[in-house]
Amino acid sequence: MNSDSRKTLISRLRRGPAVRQRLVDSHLAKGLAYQIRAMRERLGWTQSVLAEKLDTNQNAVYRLESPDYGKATLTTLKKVAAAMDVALVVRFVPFSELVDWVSGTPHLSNGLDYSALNVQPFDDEETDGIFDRSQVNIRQAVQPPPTLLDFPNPSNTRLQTQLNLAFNSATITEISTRPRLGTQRYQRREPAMIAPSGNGGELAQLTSLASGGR
Amino acid sequence: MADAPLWIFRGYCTPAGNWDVQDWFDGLPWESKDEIRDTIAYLEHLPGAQWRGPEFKGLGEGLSEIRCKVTELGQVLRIYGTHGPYKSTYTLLLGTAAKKVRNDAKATNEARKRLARVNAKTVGTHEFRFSENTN
Repeated sequence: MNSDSRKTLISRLRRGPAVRQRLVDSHLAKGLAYQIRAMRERLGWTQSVLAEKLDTNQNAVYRLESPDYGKATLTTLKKVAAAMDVALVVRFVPFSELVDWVSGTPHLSNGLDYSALNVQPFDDEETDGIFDRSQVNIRQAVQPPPTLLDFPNPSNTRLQTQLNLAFNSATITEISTRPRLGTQRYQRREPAMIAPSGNGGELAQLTSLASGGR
Repeated sequence: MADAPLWIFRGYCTPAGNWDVQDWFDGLPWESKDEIRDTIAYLEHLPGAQWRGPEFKGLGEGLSEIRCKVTELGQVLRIYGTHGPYKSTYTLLLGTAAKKVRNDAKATNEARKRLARVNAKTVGTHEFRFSENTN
């Protein structure tokens, strides 16, 4: 993006806690306003129609869609989500994730992993040097060890290349080995045994073919 | 990667070759620059038809303005501009800061003159830099 490079955002964060909270406020207010407006227009609703569904008035919807407002309550947002039949995610994240989101940098989510619940404050991220790493290094740091792409059959390199193009290795591992909540993550498994059904099924078949049909 | 922005922002070059709006932006307090960056970050990904008030207003004959409210400073920043002259570009013509949102006839007239020069290609434009020079 041309307006807010990662470097500029990180430099903003380093100006202090007040500036960091300002960034949070600004993107909360603007992000919500633009989302509500875009979703409403996608549905072909006027502000009055949405107001009726929220049991409020058109002026309240106008305020919700104003990037300067920023005072929507969680209750109101839940009502909006229900009216528009979309999900609503409210969660705390480390500033590095906000930087990735605002700058459009791909971010690998750790789901409900404990590290995602026990969010690192800014100073801890700074101490860990998170903001000094390149984007590639950040992704490598959160990437599980590759297992599924170690295809033993060299004749399958074309398929392996296609798979590599379609997904990065972390995504494949994430999808194929996603266990139930609370079980061990990223454990090494044989490709043919992985994900017999659900979202990972087709991928498991592909990886099985690639490894020589084991 | 995220989708590329739909809009590239350019800045007005004076007949003497000065980057007037860029210099104005670079000289703003950081609160104002941050507010503009945050607004542009959304606008650059929105189709032109979805640029609306209160942060955007069409002023007729191709001229429009982007408004940013800087609460801490009690200021409203207005950047006059136009969609064009190239495809997928928005050219920033003139920036002003005021305490209130009200019709600024002098600034609007100056922006119209600049728009006419840009359309007549008697002046140039440059790629606008919102990022801080962190090197």
